[in-house]
Amino acid sequence: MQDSGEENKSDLSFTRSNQSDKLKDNVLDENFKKAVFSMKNNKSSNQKKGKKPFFKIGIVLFLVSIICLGIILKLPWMYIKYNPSSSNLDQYENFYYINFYGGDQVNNTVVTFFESGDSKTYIGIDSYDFSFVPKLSIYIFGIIALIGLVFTILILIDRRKDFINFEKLYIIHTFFMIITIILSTFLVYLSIRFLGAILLSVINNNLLEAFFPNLIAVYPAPLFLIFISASLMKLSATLIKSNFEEIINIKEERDKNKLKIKRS
Amino acid sequence: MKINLADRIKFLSFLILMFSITSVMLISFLPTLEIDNYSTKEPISLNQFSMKDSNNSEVQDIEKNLSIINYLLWALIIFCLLSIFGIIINLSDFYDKISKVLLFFGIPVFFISCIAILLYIIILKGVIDLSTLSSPYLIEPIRYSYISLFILLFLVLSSIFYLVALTKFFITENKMKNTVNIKEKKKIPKKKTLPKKLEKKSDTKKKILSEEKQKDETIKNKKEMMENWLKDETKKLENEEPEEKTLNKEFKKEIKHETKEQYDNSKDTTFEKEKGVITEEENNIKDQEKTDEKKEIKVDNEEKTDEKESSKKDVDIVDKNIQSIDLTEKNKKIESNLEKTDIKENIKNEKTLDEALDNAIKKRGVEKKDQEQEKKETDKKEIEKYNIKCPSCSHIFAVEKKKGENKTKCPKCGKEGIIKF
Repeated sequence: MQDSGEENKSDLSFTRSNQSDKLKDNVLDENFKKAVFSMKNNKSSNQKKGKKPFFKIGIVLFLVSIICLGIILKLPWMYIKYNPSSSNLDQYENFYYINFYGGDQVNNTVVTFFESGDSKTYIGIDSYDFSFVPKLSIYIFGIIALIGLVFTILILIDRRKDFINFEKLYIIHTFFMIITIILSTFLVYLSIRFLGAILLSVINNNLLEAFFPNLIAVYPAPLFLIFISASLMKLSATLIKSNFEEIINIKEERDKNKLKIKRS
Repeated sequence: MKINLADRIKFLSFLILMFSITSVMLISFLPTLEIDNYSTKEPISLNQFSMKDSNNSEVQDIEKNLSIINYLLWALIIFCLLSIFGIIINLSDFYDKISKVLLFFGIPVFFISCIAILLYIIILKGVIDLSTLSSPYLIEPIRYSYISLFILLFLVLSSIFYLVALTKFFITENKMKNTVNIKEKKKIPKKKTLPKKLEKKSDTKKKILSEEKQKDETIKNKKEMMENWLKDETKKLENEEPEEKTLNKEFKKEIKHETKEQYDNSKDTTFEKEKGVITEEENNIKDQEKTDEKKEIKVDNEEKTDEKESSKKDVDIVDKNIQSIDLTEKNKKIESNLEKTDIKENIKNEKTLDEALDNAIKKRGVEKKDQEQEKKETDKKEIEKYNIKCPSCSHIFAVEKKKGENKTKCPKCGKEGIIKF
């Protein structure tokens, strides 16, 4: 019995030493794998932990839209310089949005200007355009301001809670920029008719002279709107391009990391 | 490749966007028609906005066609923006399906632009052919409508390139996906469709793997056995009282018998060696003193009793030494068992991998030490002890057995000598 016990002991001690070594090696391998995994995670986390850009375009959009709303109400929509047949002196008149919006307050000269002759056929605009376009442009600027506000709030919340991914943030940014591009293009389309009116008044000058001699009509507010909306379009387009480049950079970095991991 | 194509698509889509916006603006605000005014006898230039309130049916038809072109161009603008958005999403690898759907909006761009330009050409041709209507000139022979036509042409050209780039992009993406799928598929059927030579190799591999599995199972079984044995041993050791750690009577007797037998053997050999000397001395004494036989017998008896007493004392000393050696060995066994149980408990208590690693490293160190101790013990075991009787004073003492010649010194009388094993 003793002999058998000793044999068992010797066998067990031998197997134990081998197995313990194996177990330890396994433990070491597991820990090594864990370390490698943590290193990978650290790499990825370093990418993610990089400072998120604070997109100021939301604030810019909000401010621009408020300024534009002020301009729509305060800046004259039409400026006329004409020389009536009764007097030799030139007369200047500014027509604001309120002059067209309130039906009773419409100036006599405006009525005479748009209703004496067929103004729509000569210059392509009438008194309805002066009430319709500002109204729509106010709504559009309101929407743009809302977009800017929502975007800034979203970014501020993300800064606090960090729930949006780096790439997703760029995607959201591009989405908002696309909406602004569409809205600003529509604004340009609305106010381009006034530019067309200027062109047509120049081309059809001989016809207009019959009704209003020495008439010069300028539309400051629509021209300003065209300028603002065009600049907004350009700004949002450049931002989309920059977002595109940023996403490409992120993709390239990711691909490089993948290659490194594969090689390792 | 994919990024370059995406960059190209982005550039072309922005170009189309720019052309479509400008063409919308130009078509709507540039004068496209010229009508003769019968009252003033001077032609009136009309743009799309001024055509709306006209009484002329032909003008109204043209205005309708122009508005259709405008709608088409607006659709182009929206589709271009959507395709740009789709490319950006596609590069981000987040919403793959949505990005594909959005990118598909880029395909009709070419067809829409073609329809728009065709419609515009038809309108222009109709206007020029009609006697009552005409297109106004910017500078002869250039008409206003030609500017928008020129931009529309650019739009069509860019849309062709855009379509080509988009198709290339889709093809490359499909290729990429196909290659990935093929790689994934190849991994599975490789085992099924191996040639015979490789199949044999795979069989041998399988055999090796199965053998390894069997070995692992045997190791597991042995480990379980070892654990059970350790548990039993620890339980036994825990149940044993401290007094019971001393040797059993039977074991003691066995050891005593063994020691006595060794002693007797050694005694016999020493007596045999010394017998020759004693007989010679006795003969001389017999020759010299035959009369004093009684005295000699008495002296012999006294010597025998002394020897017996001394031998008894030596046996007691050896017994004590053996007992002490056995007790130390037992204690070592108990300690080793306890250590094993401690290790097991530690392994159970290990929560994290780091702790396990630390323990593994510690255990390695402990095991190395144990191995060194075991080696030392084995070396000690190799150095066996041997009892020797001093020829001068007949004192028995223990001597370490080593290979070769060993110098010894009697602890009682101090006589030196060399022992050969």
